[in-house]
Amino acid sequence: MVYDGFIEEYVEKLKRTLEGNELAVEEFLRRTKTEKTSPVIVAMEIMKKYSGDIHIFFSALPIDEIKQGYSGNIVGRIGNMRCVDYEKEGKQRRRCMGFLDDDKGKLSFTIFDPSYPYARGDLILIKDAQVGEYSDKPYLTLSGRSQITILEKSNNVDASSQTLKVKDLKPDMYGVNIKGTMRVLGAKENTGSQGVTLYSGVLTDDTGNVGVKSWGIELEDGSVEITGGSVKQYQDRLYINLGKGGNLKMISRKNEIFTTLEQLIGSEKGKVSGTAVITKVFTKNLTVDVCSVCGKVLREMKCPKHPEAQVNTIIRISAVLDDGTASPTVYIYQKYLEGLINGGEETIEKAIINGDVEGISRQLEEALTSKIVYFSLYGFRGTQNYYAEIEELKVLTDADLKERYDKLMEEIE
Amino acid sequence: MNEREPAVRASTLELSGIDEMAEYGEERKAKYGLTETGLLVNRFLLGAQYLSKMDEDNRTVVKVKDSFNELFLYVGEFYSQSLEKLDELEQSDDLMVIGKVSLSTNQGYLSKRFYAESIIKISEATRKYLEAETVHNLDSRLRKITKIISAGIRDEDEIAKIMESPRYARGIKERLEKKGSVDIEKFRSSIEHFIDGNKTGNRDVVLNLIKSFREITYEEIIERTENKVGAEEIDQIINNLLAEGEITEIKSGVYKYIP
Repeated sequence: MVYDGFIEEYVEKLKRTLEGNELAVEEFLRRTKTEKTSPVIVAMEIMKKYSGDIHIFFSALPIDEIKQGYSGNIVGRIGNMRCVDYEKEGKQRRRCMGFLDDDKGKLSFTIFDPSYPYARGDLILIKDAQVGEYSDKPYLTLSGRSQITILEKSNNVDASSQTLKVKDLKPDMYGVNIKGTMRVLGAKENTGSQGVTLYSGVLTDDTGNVGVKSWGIELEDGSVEITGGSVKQYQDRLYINLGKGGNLKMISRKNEIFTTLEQLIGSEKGKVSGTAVITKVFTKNLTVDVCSVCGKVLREMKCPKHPEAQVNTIIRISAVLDDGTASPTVYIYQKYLEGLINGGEETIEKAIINGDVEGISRQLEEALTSKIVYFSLYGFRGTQNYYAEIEELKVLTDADLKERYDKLMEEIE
Repeated sequence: MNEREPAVRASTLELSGIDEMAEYGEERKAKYGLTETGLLVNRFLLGAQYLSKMDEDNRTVVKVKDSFNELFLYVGEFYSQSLEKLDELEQSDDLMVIGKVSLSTNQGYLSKRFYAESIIKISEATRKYLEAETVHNLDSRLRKITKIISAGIRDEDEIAKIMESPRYARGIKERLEKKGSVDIEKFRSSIEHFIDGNKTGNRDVVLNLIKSFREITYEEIIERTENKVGAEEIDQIINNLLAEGEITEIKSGVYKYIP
């Protein structure tokens, strides 16, 4: 029977690999009769148990002995790997590049296979491979038709196709792309076999935080994007490991001063000042309750930090500020609005006490809508939206605009 | 959540030169007009003067102009509730227009329309400031684009660093990919034209000075405009005023306003 011939072939290979170890052969035969596991997997486990050399078993040359023109079997574990999706002749295709590693050597390869079921860490057998050459080194080019068997599936998961959130991270992921705010904890020089600096930090996004260990890639405080990281586990905590093949891109440093609204809302936190047009004013829910000590807006009539403090009711509007680069909605609190109301603070207080703020709303809409203002704005990225609050506001008069016009013209000339 | 599109500061020079369409955005692709300088325009803000209004296929079309060109604006739904305000406008009234570019392609040809979201009457100082701000922005972008082209930079991140804006970088990369380059000289010359056209401030200073005297000597004009206008420019302005017939030289070096 074909099946028996198959088993017999494995038995012969096992005998050759384990130098006639009868105990191992008996165990192999028993397990293949009683277990549903594939015979090749059983053989792999037996060889691992009895320290057999898989190169002998699979009649494969160790990778460090493979030269250009080699034709035969190759066994190795998939090392660093990256895939590129592209379209050709109307079909979606995938090209993955990486290397095979068998502890003795490394062999680079490219595989054209849209289904590509392999992951970093998988131990694979390639039958009748033809080794070519690239940059004077042996190179392997494979396709979906190559005879490739996964001998041992790793737990690694390729996460490179998407940008993850902290909550999505799982052990053994690699190719991890993630954005967040970095806080640096420290650095230790001359670490590991390469003697690089090991940086450590914490990455936070709107779903949680995770430790980061970076080998030789400097971490900095601010908004960052990590690409090509891997997820490791220490005790019950996950951390992102950043090393060879990984990258860290600084999006914006912490608390930066920006020149445009676009730069501010693209950052985690910062300030910007300049001129803009107020394109819309929202005066619904005009009043808010604030703590008289810290000024924090209260949802209930008691400040959690200052429970004894008096609660004040003030006015606050939101407005759309547009400087031509972005158009965010910002909060404007009473102290920046008093100058726009006839009678100022006193009128506002009376209106709040009387519960009639309609006149205030009207005056504010008229004073601000479609007006050019000089502003100073503080903002930060919240869990859902970008929060921005005015810290200085002046509606520019014709005299102000004339002065600014002259300055602009001087600069253009 | 989709971010609100900013009202990009653009002159009629750039708006009328939109010749490509670009689409961006994750969930719902937003359409942008791509100008010859690589500016992506979805919404725009324009400082302009009112010229006239007309009806076309039951739609109101408003004609405005800035220092460069005239522009036709279709009055969109956003503004339709306040159509009566348009009747209050008089020719040469100063306006702030916030509008939207509408683009469509037919058999490979791009067709564009400009819709007004809001038309607000403003002061002359505000309109002049808006126009200067727009040209200043164009001038600053052109300087950076020149650097990008001469250094052969094509990577979007690198362009964004120079432009200090991911949005500008997207547009310039798209422009360079589609057209290969940007005609910097064309826009430089338009900026120079803008500067010349707006130097009337000094012309008015000199003319008003001559108007306020029955007759005035050249030396007195120099003395009274000291620190404001250079002597060479005064010579040029006087020559222009003489040529325009605004003033006359009653004897050598003495000028008089012709009412």
